[in-house]
Amino acid sequence: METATSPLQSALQSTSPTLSFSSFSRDVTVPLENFIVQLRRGQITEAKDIAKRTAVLMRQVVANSRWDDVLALVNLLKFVGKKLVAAQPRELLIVNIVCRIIHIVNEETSSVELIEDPSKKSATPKSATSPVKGTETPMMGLGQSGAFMAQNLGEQLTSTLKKRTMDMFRLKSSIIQEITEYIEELEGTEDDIADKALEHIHSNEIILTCGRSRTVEKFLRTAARKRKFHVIVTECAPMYDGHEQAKALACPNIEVVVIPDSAVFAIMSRVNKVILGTRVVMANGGLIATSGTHMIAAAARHHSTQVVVCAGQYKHSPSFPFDDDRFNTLVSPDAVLPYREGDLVGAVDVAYPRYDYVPPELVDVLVDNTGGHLPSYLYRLLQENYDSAKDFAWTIHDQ
Amino acid sequence: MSDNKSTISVPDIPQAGGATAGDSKENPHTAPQTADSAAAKKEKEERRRLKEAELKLKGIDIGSKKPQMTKAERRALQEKQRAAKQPKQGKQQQSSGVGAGVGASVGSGAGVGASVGAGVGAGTGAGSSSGGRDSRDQRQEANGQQHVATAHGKDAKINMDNRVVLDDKRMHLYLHLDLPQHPPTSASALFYGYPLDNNDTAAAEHGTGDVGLFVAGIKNAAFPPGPQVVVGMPKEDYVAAEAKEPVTVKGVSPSGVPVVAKLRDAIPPFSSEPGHRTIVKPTGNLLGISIHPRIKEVGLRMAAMEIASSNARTIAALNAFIDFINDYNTPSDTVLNRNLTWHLSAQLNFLVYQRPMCIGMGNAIRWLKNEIAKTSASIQDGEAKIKLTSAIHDYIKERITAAGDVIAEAGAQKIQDGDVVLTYGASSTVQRLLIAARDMGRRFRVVVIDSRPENDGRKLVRELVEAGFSDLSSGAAPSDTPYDSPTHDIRSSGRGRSTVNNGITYAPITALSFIMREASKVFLGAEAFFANGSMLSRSGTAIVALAARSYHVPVIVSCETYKFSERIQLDAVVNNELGFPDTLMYKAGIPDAEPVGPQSDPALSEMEYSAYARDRYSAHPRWNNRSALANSSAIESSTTSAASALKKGKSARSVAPVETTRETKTLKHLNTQCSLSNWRSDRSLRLVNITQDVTPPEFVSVIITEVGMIPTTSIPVVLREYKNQI
Repeated sequence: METATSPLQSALQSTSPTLSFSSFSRDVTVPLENFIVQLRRGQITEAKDIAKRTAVLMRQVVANSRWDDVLALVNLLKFVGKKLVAAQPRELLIVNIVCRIIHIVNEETSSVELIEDPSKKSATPKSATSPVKGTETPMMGLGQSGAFMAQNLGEQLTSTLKKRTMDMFRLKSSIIQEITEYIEELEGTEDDIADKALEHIHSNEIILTCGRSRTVEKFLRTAARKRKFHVIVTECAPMYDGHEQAKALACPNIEVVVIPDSAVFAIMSRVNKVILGTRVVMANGGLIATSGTHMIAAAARHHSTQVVVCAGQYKHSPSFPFDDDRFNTLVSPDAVLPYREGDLVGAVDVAYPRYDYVPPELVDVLVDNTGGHLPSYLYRLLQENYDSAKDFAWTIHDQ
Repeated sequence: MSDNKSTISVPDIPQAGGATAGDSKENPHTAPQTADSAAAKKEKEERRRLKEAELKLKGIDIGSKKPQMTKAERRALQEKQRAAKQPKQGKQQQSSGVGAGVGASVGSGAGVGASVGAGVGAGTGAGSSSGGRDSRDQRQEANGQQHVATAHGKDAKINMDNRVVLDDKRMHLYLHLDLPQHPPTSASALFYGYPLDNNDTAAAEHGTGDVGLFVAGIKNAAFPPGPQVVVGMPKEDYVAAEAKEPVTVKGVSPSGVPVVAKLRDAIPPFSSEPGHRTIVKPTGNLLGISIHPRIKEVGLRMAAMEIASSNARTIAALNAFIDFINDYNTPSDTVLNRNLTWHLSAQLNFLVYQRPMCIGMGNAIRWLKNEIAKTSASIQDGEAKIKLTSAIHDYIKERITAAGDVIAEAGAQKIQDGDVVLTYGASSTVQRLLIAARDMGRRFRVVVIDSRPENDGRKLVRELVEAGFSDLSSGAAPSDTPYDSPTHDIRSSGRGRSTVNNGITYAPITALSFIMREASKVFLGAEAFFANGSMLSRSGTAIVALAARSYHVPVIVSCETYKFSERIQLDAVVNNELGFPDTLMYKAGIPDAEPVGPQSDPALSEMEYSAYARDRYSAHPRWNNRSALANSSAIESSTTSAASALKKGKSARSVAPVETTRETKTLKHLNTQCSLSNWRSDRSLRLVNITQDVTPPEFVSVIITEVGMIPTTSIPVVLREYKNQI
């Protein structure tokens, strides 16, 4: 009887496709709409921005929307998550964060309940994550009870409701606190990763990197406080991310050399270590990284050079790369074959993918904010960070 | 910020950036160091003017809360500030005598320029390190060489024409040769080289320039705009480096002169020198021998990368040698087979000095020398010449052209209907092969992979398009799944023709692993094969071959046997040719391959360019130059001035903009847009443009030669066979 209201509501919400923005207050809808528009226009591209903003938005959803049940909350989060994914379907980071937040909600719920109701172990747990069997509804229960029972029932209901409200309030605040902690963790990701730099970089090493990665930049910069080494940066034409990276890295302790993308193989024989950034780490340990990365990793493998990938845990995706094109996107060919080459533009196809899929066997170490891992160990981390929330990532693209 | 500054005493300028303010503050300290009193006086005057301007500015500052300074005024002020701090910079450079690379060569270059009187040489050097005319002036001042205005005027004029070389004499030479001012396509259209001439007094004056390699920008390479950069090491450094580790290349350089780029100079772990190509100016046996005009022409064209491919270079050199031999007359006191070889070496030295020989060319020339040596001393000159010329013609035909035909025909057999043939860069043999297959009626798709900075894949694409490769008649309908649907197949939609069995796909080398999945065969051209089976080729070839291998796609290399070398090379670092590093900078705001050139006003081209509709990424701040334009005040100012120039007097601003040269505009533009534009000023940052690459033998499935299809392991066998023939 105590669990009465929740299944009904959640049943209603999960079955009805009409869960809409009306469930949210303006405090949620406005930033949500803003974020969606920016995602759609591709105005937010930096990985951490996207991650952080998604997490902040999720916190707003938790704080400012109507839910009196954990399942309802999870549904709300999923609903928002789907909206975001629809805005930018190839952005795996959003999915990661949504999964993570759902996981945080689940964790919090179970821990709160453990503290609150140690006595009610015998009864069916009211955890929202375990859906109630049958079609029993509270209304039916109420209808079946006699009128003489009404007063008693009413009392019971009010007392449980009061308790529930208190529980929910406590739960809400602890979820918000957890998410806040997570956001803080997100912010400190680069620093946490950079702390491990000295384990990986030795003096006078020649390190090769590619593309623009703030994580790698901080990693190398941190190492450069103690050690002196050389960094070779491939320019990643026609994005020229490498140029910016080179500019950002150049400092007295780091001698930076920019090479064209084509010279990677030639120079690899002199490289001691390849340190890469990535957009996303897939569930099998493979990477979705800026295009050109795959061939760099392959060249490194050919020369038996270690490949170290720096990526925060928020980049770990629960999805498997069964079809890696799905996570890729083709960008404007103008950069590759300028429109000025008028006669050619009409005659040829230009392929310029934004990302590369790097298979896990080319990656030696994944460094995240907790330490270094093998790509094969990733499943364990995913279990810890997402657990059952992985379902969201696995089903998101199904509809 | 500005409140603070207005309280600071005189030398600080409220509107200046922090660095500028600091610099101008230091001015008084540097002033006493100047030996030149005239310069000091000038500086003083400058400072006085600066002070005035600043006071005026302050007045405005106090008067209104916001600093109401027109753009023109601000620019004038900045101009003055720059002028004020320049002598100091120049002196620093001078006094510290910073040896590394450009800085040092600038010193000598400036001296030379002064002595020649044209002032262009100096300009070249100075421009390279800090860019722009102002800094050029400053260097000259620093050297105590006060140049008259006319010299500058001349200088500037030449800049605009964009055909500057080092001084009048050389410019004359280039003009005489009638090199096209704007060589097609290649972004690396540079002059590497030094026109050598006995009568060239300037060469003699370049006593210090013995090792200096002069690079003159014809097109594109022009950063900073105008005459190009002097590249090279000062003699002392060079000699020191040489003493440590002499580099000689067997068979390539007749006089044992090191001719190859020394990568240890370029890659920091091996040296602290910036990436320079150093070639020793030929000396010694050249005295008394003049360079044949045809050889000169060919050499300069090679230096300008106009004749760039291995085959083209070899044929051009051999043809030039035919003319040379025909014009040659044996002096009465010697015999042809001795004297001609000697003369030939001189010519060769010149060629090598312009650009190091490729292996095929080296082989051909070795063969030619052998032929000359074999010529009997008893026969007449005329007869010997006829013999030699016909032998050379035969060589070209047998080993290069006919061989190419055989390769094209044999290679075309390997292409089947429905194949997706991937190739890299622009190889003439591969091009012929593809066209031959097409002529045989095969229907296949070609994927051309290209890379910066040469982008010569575009050349191949153009040739193929002309040969009718992109037949648009049977384009597939684009898929109707919306672009951002998760099920949208990026391989088929939007790229309508890619699913059809003809057509061309063009992709940058970063897209290699994406596109390699579609390929069924990889055809590559080679610059040379070494005896161990490794392939020397344009940089990037190895990575293409590696990708093909990891995707299990056969790699078929077409290569004439004359390019086989008995040398063994294991990796690309030991011996390589370095391209001009500045070509790695990209054109500001436009994510295009070519660096900015002085002939195109960036502001104008920018405006013109942003008119094009981009795809959905146009909102991306990095890919959309409109946003970039809006962000940058420097560009804004240059666009306004450009716009006003367009409108002919209908200036948007009431105050006419202070005279800003095109160079400074370009420079400003680059500084705000290209993150590497002033890389030379950063001691810990350098660009290295490696142009060659060695592909391990295991990546190559088969080599198509005129003697058949052979594995890489058979190269020594072929080499031995041919050795017997010679």
